[in-house]
Amino acid sequence: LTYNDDRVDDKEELSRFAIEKSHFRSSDRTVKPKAFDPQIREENGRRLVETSMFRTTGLTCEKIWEIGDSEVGRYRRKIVVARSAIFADMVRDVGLTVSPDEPPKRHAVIVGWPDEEDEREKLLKQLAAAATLYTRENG
Amino acid sequence: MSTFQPALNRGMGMGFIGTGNSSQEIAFVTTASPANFVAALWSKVPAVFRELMREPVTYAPYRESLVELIDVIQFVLDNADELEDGALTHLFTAANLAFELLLSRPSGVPRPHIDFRQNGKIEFEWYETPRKVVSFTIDHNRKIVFSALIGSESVGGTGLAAGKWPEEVVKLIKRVID
Repeated sequence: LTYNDDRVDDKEELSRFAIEKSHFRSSDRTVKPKAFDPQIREENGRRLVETSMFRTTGLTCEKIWEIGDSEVGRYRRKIVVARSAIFADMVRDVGLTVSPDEPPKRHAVIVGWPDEEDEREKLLKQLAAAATLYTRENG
Repeated sequence: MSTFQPALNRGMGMGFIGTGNSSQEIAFVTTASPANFVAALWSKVPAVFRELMREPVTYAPYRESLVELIDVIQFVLDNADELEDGALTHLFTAANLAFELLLSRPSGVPRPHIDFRQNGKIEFEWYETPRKVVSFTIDHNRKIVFSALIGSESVGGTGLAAGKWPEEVVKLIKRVID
């Protein structure tokens, strides 16, 4: 895949870095819905509902964790312990949108979240079911 | 002898009203307001509370859930930066409401896994697989938001925690655990 600044390809892998073990189930190594919980904030009078992701297709494991450490762990002053990976087309399949959102390099956001909380929760479960968990130990 | 006797049938708020000089003097009674439970958590009583939990109690079926809830609160206290601005206060109120829900858990509904959300909600989850899962969150306003994924069926809705669990939620839980 060619990295394109303007759009995220359907077959691109997106990673959501976790600094908390409560974002996944150790028992069966699955992703919890809350891992994709969007952040709701105001910016210039606009209400933004976004889930921050990084585009990790084609990168080595070392490089992926390096991005997690530098772009997520460093700001939270914590170690990135895992990532939840999902392909862009899976996000689009549930009706959400993936858009590049640089800087930082390789940053993207999942947007298009519904206003209704129960609808958001339903989508979170579908994303979690489609995602793959990678912990720091297993790459 | 410590006491731990939340009463279900009085229709009153349940809470943590007294802290004495030792865990042996801590009492759970039914006349306290929910705010007292919050206050007890706020003052980091959970460590002592856990000690109490190891005592013979009169409410054993709920002990593990309460310990889990307290662990969640303790975790949040230790990692407050996980929460969005202002969410900590809401989380404590939500925890108190979650506590009341635990005590009124319908028969046939197993113990949930308890977690928190960064916006200050408490979450109860019943999980079999990623595609056989149901959960609900409760916020500081008693609002319940539930959702389930059962195979390819995705359902959800909202309700209010008002003394009993929403029937639709109970039905979904029983479908997931069947």
